[in-house]
Amino acid sequence: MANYSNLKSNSEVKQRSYITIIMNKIIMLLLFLMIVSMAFPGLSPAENHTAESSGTKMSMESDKQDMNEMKMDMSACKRMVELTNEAEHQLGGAQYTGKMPMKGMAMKMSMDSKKGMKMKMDSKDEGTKMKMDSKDEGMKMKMDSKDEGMHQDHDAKAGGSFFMAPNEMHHIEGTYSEDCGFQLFLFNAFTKPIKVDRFRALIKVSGEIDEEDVEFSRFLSPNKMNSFLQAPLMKGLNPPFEIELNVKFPESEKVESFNFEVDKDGKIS
Amino acid sequence: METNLKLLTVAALVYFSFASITSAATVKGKVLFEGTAPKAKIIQMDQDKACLEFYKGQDPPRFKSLVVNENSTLQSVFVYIGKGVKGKFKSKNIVTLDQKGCAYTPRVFGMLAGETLIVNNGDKTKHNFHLLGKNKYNRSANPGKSIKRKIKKAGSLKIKKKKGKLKSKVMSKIKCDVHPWMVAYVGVMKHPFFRVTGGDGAFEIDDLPEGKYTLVAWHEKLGTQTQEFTVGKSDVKTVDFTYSK
Repeated sequence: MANYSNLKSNSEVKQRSYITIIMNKIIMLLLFLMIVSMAFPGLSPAENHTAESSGTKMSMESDKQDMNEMKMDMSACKRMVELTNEAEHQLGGAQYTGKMPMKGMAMKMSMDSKKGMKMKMDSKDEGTKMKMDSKDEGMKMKMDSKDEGMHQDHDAKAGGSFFMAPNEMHHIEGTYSEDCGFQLFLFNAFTKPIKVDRFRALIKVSGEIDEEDVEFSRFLSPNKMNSFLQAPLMKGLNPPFEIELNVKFPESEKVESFNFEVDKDGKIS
Repeated sequence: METNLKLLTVAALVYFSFASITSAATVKGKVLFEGTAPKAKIIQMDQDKACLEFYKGQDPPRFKSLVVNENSTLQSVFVYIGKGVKGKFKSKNIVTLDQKGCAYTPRVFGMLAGETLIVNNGDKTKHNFHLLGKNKYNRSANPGKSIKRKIKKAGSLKIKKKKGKLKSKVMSKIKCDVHPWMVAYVGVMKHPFFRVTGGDGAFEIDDLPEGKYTLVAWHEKLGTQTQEFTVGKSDVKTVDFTYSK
């Protein structure tokens, strides 16, 4: 019995000493972390997340100050792209569940019809209304609600060459720099950036290396944040050269081609 | 004596070169339209202010896929020799296509394979030059800028029959993905024996060697027609086509 109580007291002592050791270690670790965070403020966990996402931000409620700071990073290979859930839910985005566009709808082209003819289309589920009204000068077509602002912006966002995709759901922009190679940005029908992991792309580059004609292909791969696709080009390849980009859009099996020229000054068009 | 010989030689050369030119045959004709010409539809360009601005104070722009001239002939018909041409032809000419008023000018044109095409954007808005077919090419066309492209591959001169209708494979479509009404067609040819009808609906293809040929007329809406003809040295043959709707 005495032995037993001795054993019990020994184990209690051992337990206490373990707890003391663990507590000491935790205190040491905390002290170390405090010292490190004071010495290197940029490495604190919260800010580290921002540094990681300096290429991308995926938030509906964006911190404007942060965004402005991040937008200044446009010249680097890690380009600032503001990805939003809203963009993913619009036509061309990954979460879009509405109807696909009618061919030629993008520019709301309309045609003559017989005098007096009226037509109205109303898609309640998508919140899209379309009106057609024919007078002497032909049919007029109006679209309102969610589709307003679609295909209004065709300006390049990253200083590259900008296209509207033939499927009328996406826009693309290709950029080139010696350091970053070729980068491809994808936008929805409202020219808002969207995630790129659903897209497959290949470039075929034709140019010269040491006065010898070269032609090579590269698959584009997404960056960590899925905000653009990219591929480095061959070492020794100096402008001018041509790039043929082939993109498989997620909504179709068809591959669409886009052509770029990089002039002798390295400017893409 | 020497001077006379030289003069004779020059005269002979002039005579023979002139004779060789005049010995080439010509095929000419008109592309007629029978029926009532449909009223061209108006293009609504409301979405792009730059396009709309261009037509301010003018008649509204209309589709030009079927243009009937006052003399009941058709505009923009691509007429070419399909079968019978021998030899290889090369040219370093430059062919120009304009984008102005959010429309292509000319709407239908031809060029020899190997020639350079310059596409100008005279508009204050962005277009894209999207050439389909064998020479597929898609470039962004910024306002005031030009695109230069060598068009290398000729279209096939074979005529196919599909569902009782003749199909020409020589034409390639050009479109702008931003402005879907913008459409043009180019015939990329192996030889220079082609013309496009204009405001009088007429065509004239000259410098043809004697021989038997197939003449093809292509219209973007009304389809393809063919006619065979034979020409001897210095012949002038008239071949008319008639389309109806």
